[in-house]
Amino acid sequence: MKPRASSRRGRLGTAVLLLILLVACSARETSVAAALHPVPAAPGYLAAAAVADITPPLHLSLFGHGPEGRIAVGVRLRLNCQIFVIANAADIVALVPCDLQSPSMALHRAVSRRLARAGVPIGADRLFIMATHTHAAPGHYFEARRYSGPFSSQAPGYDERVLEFLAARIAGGIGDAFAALAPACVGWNQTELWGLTFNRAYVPFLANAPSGAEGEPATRASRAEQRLQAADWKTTPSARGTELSVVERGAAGPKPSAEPERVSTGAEAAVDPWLSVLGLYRRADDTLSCDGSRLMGVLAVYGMHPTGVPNTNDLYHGDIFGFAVRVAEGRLSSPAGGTSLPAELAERRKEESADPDAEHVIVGLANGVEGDVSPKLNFQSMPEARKHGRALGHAIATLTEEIGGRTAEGRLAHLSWDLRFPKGEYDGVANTLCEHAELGIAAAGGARDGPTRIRILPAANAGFQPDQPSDCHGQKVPLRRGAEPSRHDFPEVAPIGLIEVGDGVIATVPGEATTTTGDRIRRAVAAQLAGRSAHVAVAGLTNQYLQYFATHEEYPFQYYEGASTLYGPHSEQFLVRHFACLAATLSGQRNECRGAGAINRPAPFDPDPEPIAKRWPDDEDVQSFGLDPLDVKEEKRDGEPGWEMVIDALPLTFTSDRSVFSVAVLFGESGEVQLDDDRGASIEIRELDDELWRIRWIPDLSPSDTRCGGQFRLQVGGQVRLTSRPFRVQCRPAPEAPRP
Amino acid sequence: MKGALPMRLLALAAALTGCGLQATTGPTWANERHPVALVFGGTLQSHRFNGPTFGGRVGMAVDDGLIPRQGFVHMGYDLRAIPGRLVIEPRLDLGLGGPIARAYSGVGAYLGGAASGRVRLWGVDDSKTEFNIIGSHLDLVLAARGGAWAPPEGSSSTRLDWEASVELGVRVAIISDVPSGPAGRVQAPVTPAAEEGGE
Repeated sequence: MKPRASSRRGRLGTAVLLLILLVACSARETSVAAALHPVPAAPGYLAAAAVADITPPLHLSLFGHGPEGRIAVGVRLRLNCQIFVIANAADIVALVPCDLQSPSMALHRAVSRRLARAGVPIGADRLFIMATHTHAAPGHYFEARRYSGPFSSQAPGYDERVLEFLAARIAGGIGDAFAALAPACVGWNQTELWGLTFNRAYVPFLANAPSGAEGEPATRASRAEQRLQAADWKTTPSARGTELSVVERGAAGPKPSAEPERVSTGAEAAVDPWLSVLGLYRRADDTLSCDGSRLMGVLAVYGMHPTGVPNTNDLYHGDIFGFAVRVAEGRLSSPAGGTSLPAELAERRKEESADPDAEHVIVGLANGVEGDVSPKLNFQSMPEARKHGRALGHAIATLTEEIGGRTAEGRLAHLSWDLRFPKGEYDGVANTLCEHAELGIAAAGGARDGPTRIRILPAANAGFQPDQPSDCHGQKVPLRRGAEPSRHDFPEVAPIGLIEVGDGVIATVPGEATTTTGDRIRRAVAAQLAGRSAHVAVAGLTNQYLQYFATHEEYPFQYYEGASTLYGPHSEQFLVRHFACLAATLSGQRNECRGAGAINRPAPFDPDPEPIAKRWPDDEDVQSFGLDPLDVKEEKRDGEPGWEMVIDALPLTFTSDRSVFSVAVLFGESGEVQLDDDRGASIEIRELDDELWRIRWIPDLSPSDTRCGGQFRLQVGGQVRLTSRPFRVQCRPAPEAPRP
Repeated sequence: MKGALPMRLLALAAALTGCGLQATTGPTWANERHPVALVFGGTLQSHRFNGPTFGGRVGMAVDDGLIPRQGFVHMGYDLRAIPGRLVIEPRLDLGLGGPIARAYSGVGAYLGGAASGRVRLWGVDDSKTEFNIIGSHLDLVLAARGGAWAPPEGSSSTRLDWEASVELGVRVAIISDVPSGPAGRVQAPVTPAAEEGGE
């Protein structure tokens, strides 16, 4: 009997073990959620800002230019996420603009998981990752197969390690900010900013019939056209520190600048001009007074497809927005620049960036309504992007400085709604979106400011109209690879959100809204929140990437934006309708939209990314060592003078970790003062080949620059230590140096 | 590391498009005999539109240990009888070799005609408005052929050898819309302003 009992117990034990294994293995993901830390108990707002450096190793694909996307061989601007955590007794949210082309739900949920494990009480519904839409950040972290497929870049594929790297850095930054929550005040400001952008899809835009509403883009464009024809433009003074026409809030329409080349055309008027800033201030004490509070962070929202650099780029950088936030941080931060710098140099440095080692104001720039809005450049290049970024950065700083009312207590609320797009009801009478997402062939041809070689195919050009429109997708010619669409090709679920802070609301869109779509979203939200919120900022590219939302009037033209509107011609109506419903919920009214999931309850997420590829380079162990000084020579590249030296190649992963590799510019006869480093706006690191890297300093020199004639050194720090021989910056026109 | 995979795929798609590989088998009537033939071939065909075809194939008798006995080049025309479902392809055959059932002492010549019908079993539906960078499909093929072999020069007989066959098989084709996508054109869109004469 004993052996039999033992055997029975053994079988029971085995069964229990199997059951445990079954349960464990059937769980989609195993996570060890720590007990959540409480939000510090304090009256009024709490806030904190932090920066997460998300610059990855070299040799990952740059995402955003489709098949033209190059493989990164260097870093021009380090990629960052600026993190703003805001809390009060009622709620807590994390607003996280990032130097990424777009978010993915895989990334959003991975960050959320890490926060849960760390006990940070910011769940997926409270986390808003907003991509700046730089096309010079890595890919490989998208669960949607088409975003990792053969035409996503020149080295496609999904790599879990890239995803986890980004998630770890972002979650780490959020954790830091949460730990630093302190009594705060908040303040909003908003203005119209003209002259930086124009509508790149003006022909489809004109299909949006003006309703006559004040401030409507179509109405403004029509007025601009009339003004141009009548040539009755008047002049306005430029905003301080900018070359822009900044129009006061509430003005009836755009006022062209004095310079004829900046006159507002119809296409320039056919944009969303709103620049919004949310200032976060550290209170001087625990009372609810904002007197003496100091600016610690600024979240700005402005709509611009920020591709100032052409698609031949092969460096990581934040493009126009990357330059803009550095300029804004430099101007808003105090004390000026590096503390040990001479005053003149410190002032000059503030024009480019803040000293990251000193306590400084953190500026994040979320992209707004930018689907059809291009930067108004002379041509795409790094210097043009820098110039544009400088103008935008100054505008952000000016607007922040003009924030009037700050408040220590007020509303803080968030609504996040995971919408399912396939067959989504868009009009309340059972008309639905398409069942499958499709990308049109015109999207593969690229936008006006990022054309691809696929435009050799007639069908890949804007405006291609098939003889036989498809049933659901209308004039769109779906781009496929010989297979029927899969539910894993593109995201099916994407969240929209409303974040209310004080008397302002940010509406978050999981993609790129064209000017009129964004305007309709804003009006839908504002109508529901009339009398409650003075500011409605629309931020795109948040938490998921459903590409574009062209209006149903723009869609049939099948320009790039319409071809990238995934769920068919009525996607914009679906979006606007649900924003109206969400805003109704926020204002305590009845939500008329049925069929979607629950608000603030993240939908189940079951990713199945393909193709899997190993894109993360191998780690290499390099012993610390020092090198003899090298010569630095002046070289003009891309129209910009720069001072550069060539060093032996380092492991590709080094660019992701400043503790093993960093670059600085030193000033002075003995190089005793650090003027800038690779976190600023002036240093480029580039792999020349398998054996050599080039370090280049590109100061933004003005003719009477205080740095002219000064003596400098380039310094490499980390595992490799090297200080160059001294060199002088000569600001007079230098003879053209022979190129290697 | 700096390879341009998408562009290579695009070039490959353009090069391979319309390349159909076909295998058919069926009875052949050649003089008094009617052995079973096995025919392998390849055809360049247009995708999505009616258009000319060109290709070649090799025939062998199943009973003879699959030794190639005859080779053909063919030129034809694809007619989409039911777009996306059924294609009819009449064609002209020129051949070298000999009848499937009789060995010449040299190389004979063949002239004949054929017609085939292809029913789409699987793959890209070329009647739909979509742009496939690359794709494939599988067709069921029913083919009928008839023609005459002329014996080699110097043969004792100058009699023509008539040959006909009915074959059933499959064709696998790699297709792409890169050389010829769905019908349409880039049109100058009509804007409201233009309609009103404003532009």
